Amino acid sequence: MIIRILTIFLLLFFNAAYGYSQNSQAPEKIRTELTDVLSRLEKKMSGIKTLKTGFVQEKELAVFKQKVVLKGTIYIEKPARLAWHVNEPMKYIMVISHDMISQWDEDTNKVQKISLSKNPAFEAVIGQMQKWFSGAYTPLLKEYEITLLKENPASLKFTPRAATFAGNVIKSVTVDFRKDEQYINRIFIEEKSGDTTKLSFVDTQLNIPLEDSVWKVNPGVK
Amino acid sequence: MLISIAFLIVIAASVTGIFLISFDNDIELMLPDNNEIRRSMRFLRESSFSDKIIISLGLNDSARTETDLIREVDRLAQSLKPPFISDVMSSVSESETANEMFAFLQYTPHLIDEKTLEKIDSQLNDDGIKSILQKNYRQLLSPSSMFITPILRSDPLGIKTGLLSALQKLSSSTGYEVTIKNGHFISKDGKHALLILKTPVSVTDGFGSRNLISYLNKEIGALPPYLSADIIAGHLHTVSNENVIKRDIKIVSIIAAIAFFFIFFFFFRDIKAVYIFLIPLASVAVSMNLSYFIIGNLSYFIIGMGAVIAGISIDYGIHIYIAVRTGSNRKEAVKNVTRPIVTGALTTISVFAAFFFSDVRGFHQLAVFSILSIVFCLSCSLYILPVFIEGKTARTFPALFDNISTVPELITDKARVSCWVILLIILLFLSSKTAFNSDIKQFDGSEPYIFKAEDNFQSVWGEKDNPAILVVQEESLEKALLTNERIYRDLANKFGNEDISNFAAIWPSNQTRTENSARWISFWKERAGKLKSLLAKHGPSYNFSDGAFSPFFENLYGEVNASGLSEDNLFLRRLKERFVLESGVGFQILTYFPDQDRYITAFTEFCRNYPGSFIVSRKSLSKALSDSISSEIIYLSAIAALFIPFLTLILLKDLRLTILALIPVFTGIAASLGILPVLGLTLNAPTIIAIMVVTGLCIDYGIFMAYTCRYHFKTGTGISVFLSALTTLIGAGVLLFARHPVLFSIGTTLFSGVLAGYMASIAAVPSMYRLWFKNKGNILT
Repeated sequence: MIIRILTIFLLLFFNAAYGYSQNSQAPEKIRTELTDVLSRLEKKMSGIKTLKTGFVQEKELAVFKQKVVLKGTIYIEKPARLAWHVNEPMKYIMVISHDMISQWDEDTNKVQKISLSKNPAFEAVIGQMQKWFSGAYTPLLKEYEITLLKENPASLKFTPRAATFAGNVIKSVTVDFRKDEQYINRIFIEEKSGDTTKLSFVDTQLNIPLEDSVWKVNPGVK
Repeated sequence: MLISIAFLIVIAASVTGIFLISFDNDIELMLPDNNEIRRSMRFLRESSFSDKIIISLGLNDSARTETDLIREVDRLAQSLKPPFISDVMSSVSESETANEMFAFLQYTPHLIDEKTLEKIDSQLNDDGIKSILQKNYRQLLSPSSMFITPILRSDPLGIKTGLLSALQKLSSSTGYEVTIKNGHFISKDGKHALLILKTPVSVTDGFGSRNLISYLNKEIGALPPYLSADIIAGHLHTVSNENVIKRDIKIVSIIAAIAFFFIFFFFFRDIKAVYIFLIPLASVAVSMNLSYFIIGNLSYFIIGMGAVIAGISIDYGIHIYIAVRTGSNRKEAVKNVTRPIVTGALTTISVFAAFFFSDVRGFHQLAVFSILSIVFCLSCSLYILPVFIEGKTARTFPALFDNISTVPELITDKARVSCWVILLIILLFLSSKTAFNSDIKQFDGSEPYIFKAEDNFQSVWGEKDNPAILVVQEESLEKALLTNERIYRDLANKFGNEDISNFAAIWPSNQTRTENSARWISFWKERAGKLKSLLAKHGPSYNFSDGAFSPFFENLYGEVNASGLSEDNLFLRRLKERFVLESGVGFQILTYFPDQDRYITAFTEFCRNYPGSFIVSRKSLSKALSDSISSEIIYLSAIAALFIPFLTLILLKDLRLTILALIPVFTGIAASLGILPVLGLTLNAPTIIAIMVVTGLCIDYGIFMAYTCRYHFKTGTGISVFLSALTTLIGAGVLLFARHPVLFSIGTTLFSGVLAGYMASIAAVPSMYRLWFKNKGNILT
């Protein structure tokens, strides 16, 4: 059930729409620079076929008394596989493979599977999520105003435009790239409520062979 | 002279009148008057389903991308405007949809029923809350956790997720395999996009449909060459069927005219023989006008039978003409053939009269049109035609007749009868292979490109069967919602709600919502404190802060107007359009479920408890049609089977002669039925009409031959039966050039039946007569 809620929220957050609509008030030079940077990043990241990266996610949420730190590994295999393994503070695995999403967690030791074709909205969201990790940000321009914080390595700040749902919830999303701009170094999300989430990528390895086991959730489940 | 002038005036007036007659191609006219069928057909016609149009745009250039596709979808959507298109749905704004879905959740207090509150109550204890908190904590560890925090804070117990689930289930039960990309409806292969259009033009409006399709084609024509477009619309079928039938009538008329000219040129070579051809044409024209005055709008299908009727009624003129030209005395000749002609006409009329006993309105039209035509033609043939024909002259008919109107006596009568018996056995064997087909789609004569587009659409957007629909009908929306609610509750209890899409899952009646709202307030006034304490007690174990779930308590008694669904909410408005229909007599609420036998049977039984509710299912419609038409066939056949032998017996006053006269009838029916499986055709309502016409014609041949065998009149019976059969075969044969499946199957049945009946009448009847009556005289000279 939570997947559906998750769907809605992902949908809201990644409500990228068609079109390349830049901020018309931005000076022409800045627009050109931004275009160049986005193109450059997309070009660099388009060479990635597989990816394995450790991550640390720090959540400072009003809902929690203390900061929550999650540690784990993300695996991506283009075009259609993504795995999210959390090792701390509890074990949790989510695997997106083509049409199917499988989730498992240590507490329940149960696998939940969802067909994307039967959940078109969810499918759209997952597609956007993969786009986010892929670095192809051009489609996000319609819903977000993108500011180039730093050109080399690139640092981009996404501010939701007014009258979008994301604009009600998200204050800004900052994406920093690593030195060689081959992949993202950090994603920082600041909500209007004051909550923040920082997702840092560590030990990122590109285009390495990935074992089949990373795409499997716990086999000994109920 | 006066008679001729009056005759010409009547013809001229009738031909002029034809241009003033209104025609329609409503297929419903050809369906039985069965309540279930009528109700289903009316529902499908009046509901907005049939007035929706779908356009599927596809990329046909691999160099082009989804971006190109979406850009053109938007451009096309913007170009489609009233009066032909009232609404275009080509995209959904994900953010707006989500906003609207969340706005809908404000109604939660009004939508949560007693059962759900009991379930919530059972969780308000230490174990229940610990389990809920653990689940919420886990959800915050998922990759998308950053986006679910607000909803977890405002709904820690997951009350709204049930509503969201129901909402999503209803909104995704469209039957198409659609993905939403950049807010657009995109196919799974990413190469096609969908536009759903709404039009005020009714599918049954032929003229409006034609203009609508032209407009759409014009707009689609402006698309770039790398895009193809498939239009899926009932209007296309309307226009195409009309085109095909009009074209068929044109072609059939031209071919029939040419064929009749050649008959005249080769066989009659007498300018006055033109009357023979003019009389049936005039009869058709006159009867068309009279039928219009009696019935009103005439069906194209019935008028398409005009050539057949002309082919039948020309027989009377031929018999009179041949009798006068070959007989020594005009008066005597006419007198000799009058009795068999009138009897033949009466048997034919009796066959058409049997159609009055049918439930099919189209059959009534056919009966009126045919009987009027036959009566007019018979009268003209008996009283007007003889006045214009010269008596026996030196110039006789071509020698060709001597060969074609008789069967050479190369073989004995026994051998002929044996050949006929063998042929009959083969035909009966083939007849046993004939299958009955009640599928309405077989009457659809639309051009192949329309079916191709629909096949393409199915392969791109999924091949799911259309669901069946349970319709609840009440005079007011509130009443309809209440009944719908009860039905949904009962259905869900009995069948589960997995396969059922019902509006009550998200929107019960005003009465229920008000009750729910009051119950919600009372429930939480008693339990909010308890929940707060439990969350404060167990929250810290999962790192939840004190105010973690304060949004839930702050909005617990959120005020919303429970009186109705906000029409501003586009998402819900679209959903409501799918489930709630407003008609002239009130409101209909629809429940969608799989069109499977087990559901249809159970739901039909279920509907008996709810007067005003009914099932609309393509499968059950097909079954009802099949049952209805089957009983129709038996009924009409029985009537015709009684009329024909009875009238024949009255004329011939001899049982054995009557049996002889029926030989062509048996042969004709066997041939009509036997040809169908050979050509891969099936038996259906129009072919049954054709078989009954075959029966009426073949009995004429049988009566004439048996009568002549018995009384030896020198009235050129062989020649006249040959010409009668030939003209009928032309009338029926031209329908073999028709593209429309209904006209083609009628043509095939008539042609094969009349040909076999004629052959039996000239070959089997005389031989049987000679064998049976021990009379070896040559009866055909």
